[in-house]
Amino acid sequence: MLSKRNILSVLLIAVVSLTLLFGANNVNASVSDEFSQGMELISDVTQNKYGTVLPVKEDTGYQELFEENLVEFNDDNYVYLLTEDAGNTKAILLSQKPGEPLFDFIGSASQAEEYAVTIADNACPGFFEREYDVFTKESGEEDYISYTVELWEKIEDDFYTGNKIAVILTSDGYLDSLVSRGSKISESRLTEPDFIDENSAVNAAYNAVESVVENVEKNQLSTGGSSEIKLEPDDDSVISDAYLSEEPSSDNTKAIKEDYDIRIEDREDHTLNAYKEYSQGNIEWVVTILDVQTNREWGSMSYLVKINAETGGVDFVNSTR
Amino acid sequence: MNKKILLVLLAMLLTFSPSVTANAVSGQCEIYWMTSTAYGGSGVGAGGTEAIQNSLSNIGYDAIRYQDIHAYYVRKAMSSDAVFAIVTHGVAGRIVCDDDTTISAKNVSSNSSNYALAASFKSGDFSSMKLAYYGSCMSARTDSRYGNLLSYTTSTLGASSALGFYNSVYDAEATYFEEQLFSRLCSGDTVSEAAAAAKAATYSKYSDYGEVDSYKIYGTSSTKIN
Repeated sequence: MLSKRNILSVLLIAVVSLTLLFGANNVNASVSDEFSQGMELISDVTQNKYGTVLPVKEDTGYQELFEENLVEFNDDNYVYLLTEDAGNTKAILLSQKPGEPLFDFIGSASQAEEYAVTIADNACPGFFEREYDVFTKESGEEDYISYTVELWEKIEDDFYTGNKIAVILTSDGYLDSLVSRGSKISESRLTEPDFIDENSAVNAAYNAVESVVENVEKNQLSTGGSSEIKLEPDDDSVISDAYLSEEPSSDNTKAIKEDYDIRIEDREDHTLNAYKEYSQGNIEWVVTILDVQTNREWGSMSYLVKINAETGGVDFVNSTR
Repeated sequence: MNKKILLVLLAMLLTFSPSVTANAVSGQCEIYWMTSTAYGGSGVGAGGTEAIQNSLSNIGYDAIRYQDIHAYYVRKAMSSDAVFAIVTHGVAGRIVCDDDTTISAKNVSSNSSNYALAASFKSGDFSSMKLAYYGSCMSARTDSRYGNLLSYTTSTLGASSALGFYNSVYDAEATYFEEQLFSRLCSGDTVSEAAAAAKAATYSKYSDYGEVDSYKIYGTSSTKIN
């Protein structure tokens, strides 16, 4: 027979064992009002299709990743990251593809748009105080397409607050992800009258990209495109494989290629897009220059340049790989 | 008898608790980046390779980083890699290496600058590879002649998983994406979990996906590298 003391010990260990076995993440059985609110919000999005939603108490690194205080929930298939007051959704991440999709087959961008707007409304109630534009793009092969639907809050046409929600759905009806991005807007900054106009912004963007291109050409002349830790073909420090028989031949190892040419000067061939956006206290023109041809068979490049709408200064230059 | 019961319960606790056992990893990882003139940007090129190397090294991998390497040598050691990562320019079916040489899945004999995986490796040769990360534009796309790198790496050569992008990706966002991807992977996320988190974090930081939302995972998306 077990003594009372031993029975208590056994029970204690059993409880600890069961906790470890069935999920240390979800130890908080009694939920606060905040958590109830969070779970209600999640339920509105997923219609309770993916098992019990429970709060996660352990550090999963998501707060560090998003640089925000967040409350976290999960169910069998998704991670839900809500704002600190559980009133809004920062992100919904797919952790394991569920058996049941959220929607029927999604056969068009407009259908994806309709579903995404519903999800965004439920996940982020009251997130937008103004009207918003919806942008949708597709990627993937014919039988499996991802639809990325973005909602951008706007002040007026081509002038956005920076408050955005992005929802990704797949053609087989699954919610892939949602992420919201808030911008603390200063109303007085939005009505600043002295913004540079679009033409000036586009010219400033071209100047910035031309400067980048010039540096590439200069680098070509000074170094021949080589670098400080380049390994030559006769350097055997990366050779460890027995399957290969052929060495690079002289014509393809040391071939003198035509200098790289980025045709940024051919403006009439480019596709341009420009809009203003509020970002971290500044208003910026965001200028994208697409279809910039090169003299390589792998084709064109695209550039994205952010121009300070008040000063005309270049804040950011980005290019495709 | 009482002691026996306690010992049995303690043993159960240690055996079935998933968090008690520490993971230990080892193996070779190669990380490549190309700054050759074919890659188009001043000061652009390293992408997130340094962070990838640090993440992998921190959990015990022998992670080596190479800059501007001819495709012949990039391809040469791939079958020995537990994790392979490359940051470079790309086009459907091919990634670009030094001297404008390329790596593809299928062999195209008319192109002497292309080094095909099919020409060097046989089925199952990448069975020890947990993840191949092709960090270039359009690396997830299929070309009718050159094939699909992700599909070939996993289905034919046997790597557990491969990740690449369907569209042309912007460098800043792709850099951040790959930094967060490997950080989460090395913390124990699966490939699909890590990629989902990295994608959302990229949008949160840049207010734009920079097309990293077009990533595709081939093979087993529940693969872990830690």
